[in-house]
Amino acid sequence: MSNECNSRAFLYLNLPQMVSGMLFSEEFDFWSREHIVLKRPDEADTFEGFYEAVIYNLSQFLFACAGHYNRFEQIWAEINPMPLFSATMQTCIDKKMDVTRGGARYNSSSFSLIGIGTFIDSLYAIRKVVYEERKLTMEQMKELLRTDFAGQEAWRLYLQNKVPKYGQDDEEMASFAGRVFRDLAVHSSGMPNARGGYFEASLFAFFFYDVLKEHTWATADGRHAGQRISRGCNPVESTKEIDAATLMQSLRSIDFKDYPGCAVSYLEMPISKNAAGTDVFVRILEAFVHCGGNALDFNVVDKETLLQAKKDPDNHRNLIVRVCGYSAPFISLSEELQDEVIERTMRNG
Amino acid sequence: MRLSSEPCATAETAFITNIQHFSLHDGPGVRTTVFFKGCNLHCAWCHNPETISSKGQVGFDVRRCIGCGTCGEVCPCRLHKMKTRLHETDVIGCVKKESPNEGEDVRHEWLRKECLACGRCVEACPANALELYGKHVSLSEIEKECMRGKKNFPGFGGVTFSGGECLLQARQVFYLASKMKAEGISVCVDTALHLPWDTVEGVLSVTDLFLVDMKAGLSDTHKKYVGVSNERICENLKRLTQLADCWVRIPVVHGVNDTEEEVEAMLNTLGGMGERLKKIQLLTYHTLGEPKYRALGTDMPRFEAPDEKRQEWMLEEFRRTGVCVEWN
Ligand code: SF4
Ligand code: SF4
Ligand code: SF4
Repeated sequence: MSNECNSRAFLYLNLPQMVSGMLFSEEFDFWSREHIVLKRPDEADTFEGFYEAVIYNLSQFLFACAGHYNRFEQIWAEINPMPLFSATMQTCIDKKMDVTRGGARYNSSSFSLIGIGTFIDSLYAIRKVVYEERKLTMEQMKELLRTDFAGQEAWRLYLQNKVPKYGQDDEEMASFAGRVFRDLAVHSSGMPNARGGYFEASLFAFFFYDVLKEHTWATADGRHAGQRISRGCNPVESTKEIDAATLMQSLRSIDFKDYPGCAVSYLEMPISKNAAGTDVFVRILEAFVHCGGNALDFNVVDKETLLQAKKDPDNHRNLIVRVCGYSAPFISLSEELQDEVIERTMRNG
Repeated sequence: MRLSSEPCATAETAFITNIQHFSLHDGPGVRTTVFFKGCNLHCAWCHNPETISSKGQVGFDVRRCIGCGTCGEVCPCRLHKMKTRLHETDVIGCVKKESPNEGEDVRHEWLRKECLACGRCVEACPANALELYGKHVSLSEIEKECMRGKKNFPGFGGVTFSGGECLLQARQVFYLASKMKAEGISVCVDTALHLPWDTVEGVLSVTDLFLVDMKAGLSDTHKKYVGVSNERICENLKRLTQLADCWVRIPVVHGVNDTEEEVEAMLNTLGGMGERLKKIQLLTYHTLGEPKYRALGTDMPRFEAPDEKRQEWMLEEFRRTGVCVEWN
């Protein structure tokens, strides 16, 4: 029987949009509402300064969130006690204490951080293009974001295609990603909650990333406003060259011990005409555990996804399908083959 | 065929197009496949047309091009030109694009024939509309990539050297394969065996399994569709199956090698093989190479795949060899 009362899914924090909130602070009033004095990242002379400011502001915000949550949690026992649920836990009985007061053995809370892949790529793009290559000034970059790259498709594509992305085989990127994962874990965990437990870091949102995307402005990784943001701890969908092998490799940037609140990886499996696929599942699961993964969400591709991919290839570059014994990126197929694959999915149900 | 047709300048690099991880079709298990560039055959249905030429090539995907002109600025030979006003007849191999910046039409003209494949435009193109086929990559780098599979996959199947014809770079294959063997990684060599026996023999000691591509049974058919007759290939195969484990892989193309005479001829050849022919894989013809043909500026020759009845029949026929047969 369980002996845990974990409070989660009460706050989804859209990381990429937080960065927009810092770059365009005049247009977001949550800083002043929370009485947070913002460190302006866009005024930093170095990337270190920029990054520090971003993390500082985030930590202040998370701090404020923890405060709000704790305020509610302190009155939880009065407005919604849970005697029946508590009766299922041994320690609640031993301690004669309701779960809402901390009767369970494990009393954690967690914020869910969303879009970490997009967040990492955006910060990295700013580091490369603004601070290192100096191809754009901070003001120019902000202008691109503010206008959603209007009339600047070449720049958008440059940011999307020519700057290394999280998940690709690039050592510098891998170490940067590792740093972001670490720092975010540090700042989203460790605060005490009102039930005698602590906040734990987590990276999941089983479908919420799709709801949030519409409210997410353009990002410095070349993503248009309103387009999908990354899922769980995955790399961004539009990153090319990401196959199961690279996905596993990317897991190595993350120390999953930092994320006891669960960090989900998503993997779309190729659809296959025959059952030969089971062996592949086994291999991937083995590899996943071997690389220290935490939670894996398998998806077998359905017709809807394929239809979407046909319409919007850029956001489905890593969708692999099997065609007569071969695997190939769906978007690389000719239109007639794409249609055939779609039809086949329909036939197989 | 002399080994001097190797396109690489020194023994320290190999000329390859790609390294593919998590490959499921190049031998047993989940493998890493290295595609060498350069082939001494020319199969009419080749699905990797970018691996045939032993020179570097640039592929151009017109659909991705946004007509920004960056490629033209970096090309040392000024081969890319963006033209705003052009008559249809002046256009050489180009696209009509709406320029996203000015809102006017741009035609992208590229003198492909004069391209040196220096790769500068590929590097610069923000849209990834240009792609470089063929890179000289240091052997140590390839080695590192190949080792990665072992690190990430407990059930890692091993490394496959493919192409093109990887044995046109036999020294490189030998070097890499020995390194793999030293680490206990299984090595497959995917070859069409149209080579002097010495070359094949050279890699015997470091290869666990040969994947031998068989194109046709009758010499005439072979000559017609592949460019050369198949005597030497059969000869080599016979010798090889005495000495090393082999899988024979046959891309089946309707009307070419799925006729009764053809199948009989192939069965005759395969019947005389040694014990170590472990498997026959029949592969259905497919058109996955189409985008690459398009990117190379040529039309893909159209063939057809055998229908299911034909496939059943072939399966039965090949089973007569007593060897394990599968459609892949
Ligand atoms: S750089 Fe790329 S997108 Fe721009 S014109 Fe050249 S091929 Fe087209
Ligand atoms: S590969 Fe080099 S020579 Fe060829 S078009 Fe590009 S820049 Fe010019
Ligand atoms: S042997 Fe392979 S790479 Fe060479 S032409 Fe034939 S199919 Fe293409």
